[in-house]
Amino acid sequence: MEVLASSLLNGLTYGFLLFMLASGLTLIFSLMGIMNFAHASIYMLGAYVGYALAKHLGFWVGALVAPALVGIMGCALERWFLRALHVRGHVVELLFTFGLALLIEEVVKLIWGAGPVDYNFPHALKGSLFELFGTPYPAYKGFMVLVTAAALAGLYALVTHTRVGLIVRASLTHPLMVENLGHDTDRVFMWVFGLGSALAGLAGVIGGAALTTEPSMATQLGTIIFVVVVIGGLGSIPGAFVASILVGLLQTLLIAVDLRLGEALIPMGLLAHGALAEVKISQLAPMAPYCLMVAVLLIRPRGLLGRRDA
Amino acid sequence: MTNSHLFTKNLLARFGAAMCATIALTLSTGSLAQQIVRLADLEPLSGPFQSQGDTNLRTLQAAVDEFNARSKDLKFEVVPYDAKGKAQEAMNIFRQATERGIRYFVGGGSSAIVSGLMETINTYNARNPGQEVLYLNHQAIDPAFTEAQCSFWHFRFDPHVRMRMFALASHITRDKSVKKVYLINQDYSFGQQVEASAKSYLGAMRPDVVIAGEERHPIGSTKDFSPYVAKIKASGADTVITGNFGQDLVLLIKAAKDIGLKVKFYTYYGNALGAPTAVGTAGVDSLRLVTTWETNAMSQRAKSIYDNFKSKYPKSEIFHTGVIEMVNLLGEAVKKAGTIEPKGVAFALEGLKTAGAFGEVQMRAADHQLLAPMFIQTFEAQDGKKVKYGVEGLVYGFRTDAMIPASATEPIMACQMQRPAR
Repeated sequence: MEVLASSLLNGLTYGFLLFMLASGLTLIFSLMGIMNFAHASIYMLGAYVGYALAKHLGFWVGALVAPALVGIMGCALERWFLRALHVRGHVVELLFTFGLALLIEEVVKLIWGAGPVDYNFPHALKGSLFELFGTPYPAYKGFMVLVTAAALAGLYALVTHTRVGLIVRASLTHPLMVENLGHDTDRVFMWVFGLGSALAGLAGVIGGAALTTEPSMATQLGTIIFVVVVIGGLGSIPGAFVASILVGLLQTLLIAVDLRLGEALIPMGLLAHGALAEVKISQLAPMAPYCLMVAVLLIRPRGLLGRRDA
Repeated sequence: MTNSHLFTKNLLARFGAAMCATIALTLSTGSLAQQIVRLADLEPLSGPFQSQGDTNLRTLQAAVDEFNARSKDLKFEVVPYDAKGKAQEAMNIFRQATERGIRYFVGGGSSAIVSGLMETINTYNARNPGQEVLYLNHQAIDPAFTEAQCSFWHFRFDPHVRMRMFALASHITRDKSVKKVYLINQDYSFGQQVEASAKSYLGAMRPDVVIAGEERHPIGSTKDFSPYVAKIKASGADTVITGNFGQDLVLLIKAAKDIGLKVKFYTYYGNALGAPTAVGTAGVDSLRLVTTWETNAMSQRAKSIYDNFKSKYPKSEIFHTGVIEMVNLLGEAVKKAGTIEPKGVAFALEGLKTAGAFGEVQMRAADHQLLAPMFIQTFEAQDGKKVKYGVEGLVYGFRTDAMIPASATEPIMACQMQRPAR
């Protein structure tokens, strides 16, 4: 019970972090029609910029300024690079973001070194928020959930309840019509890309301080984010939300299972043999998201809530 | 290749042969003119285990500095390489370094890399008689390297997993407060061996101890240990045994601290690489380890290496003696052999006994495993007597609870080595 409760909490916290990244990625996908391979690298940049600012100006200034800086960088990226490449088709854009991801990783290594940097939450967030079955829930995790929830509520309100959101949604589905009505869709695209990047930057500040800030953080989380977006359905923000929480819970809950594969299969009337039977369920946790992705692609190729086929 | 190229190459080869002959001549007359031996040090200098690689390289440099200062005719030179924790990278480096004429290889990183390097070196030496290279392993402690996989061209200067676990388990036998043990380790050969040897030794020495759980997590990529520590807490364990090092230990300890997990951590590498800093005050009396390094009882030589190291890297710590014993033994072996040819040095290393950093050490001839004393230590406040030095700039350091003599952990011989003709 105790393990279940704390695993649920941990899973939700992790799921929220995943969603902050996945929402930006899926937003950009619906806009450009391609997967932005550099998205996780922008997340990493957010963490490093936050760290660099925190060293001189304190954590809070870094947490506010870093996402803004990364967002502006995202705007510039769209304005001067992706827009120019757009006429050459999707493959070129795809390759560009792929190359950009590699470039960012090398630049980060050059500036901040190849090892982890000492980026942590400030003392105000040390200590625990409340106790659940005698297990304290760390304050910084509460902060993570709070910030993520606030950012996403803001995003939701912006997209569904404002005129700006209306134009953005219209530009995503009917760009020509919106243009004919006198709106500058190019600029809308730029702001959306910037917004997605800023979200990734914010996720980077939080994720970097909570987990570790190091040059491999982009690659490690990048694959999971990709999986989340595919499971949720490309381009669907609600889908990304469901998938993020699902993947977050799946990974943490599987770790909590204290069975070996052999024992777990018996109730299903199956038998595992030899070394396979000895594998612990908790050891399968890291590959669970990938299994889920394969299953979703086989059964429902468009993803859980996606509208078009992947 | 053009003709002129071939010609130059031929000329070079002849010149090289002539040089070799000259060196051989000088050696056979017994005089040893000043010689420089280059040591290629392959370490993970980037990625999740960078801290470990950096520390090993720095310790090696400090040990080499100390040796060079007292040795007139023989000098060592460290050539660092970033193996990035990848076996393929290590192979590329091996090729580069052999082309540069380096004949001594040190380090490696994980057991997987060392295993691959050993294979490569065995093949290389078989194909290049007279050009053999030697592998000096200071850290990869998979028992297989001196047992089933043992090779004449490989020497290990650190007690292996089972020797360490034997020392640890024999100490736990005396600690009556240990009743329920949780094993958490990295999911690869080293972690699996820690887990297996803990179970077998505890089972034999303390059958009353319950194994409350055993867990393996992905190596180097687990960023959030909170689901794991929640499980440890729920299991009711009072003691955790782990072979984790670097980030994997730091993050595990941090997560345990977050949820206020009160257990003893018996570790292999709890004395450095950020673990003491991560645990801080919460680690007093609970962070323990088995190690070959003991700051409270340093010999003069160990002290001078330590001082050199600390003057450059005050926030970092030497965490094992493998590198230090390696440099000293290699120096003595070269003197004994009267040559810097790896084959002769290898024969001289076999059975070599010397004063180690903390007592006598011996390179066992039959399997090339170093026998060295080990220490069981506990994290405590620095008091100038039992804990002379703080670690990583903290006011806490390590107190020695027990010294396990080299003879006590001598493993059963399980190596059938093929030796080249002398």
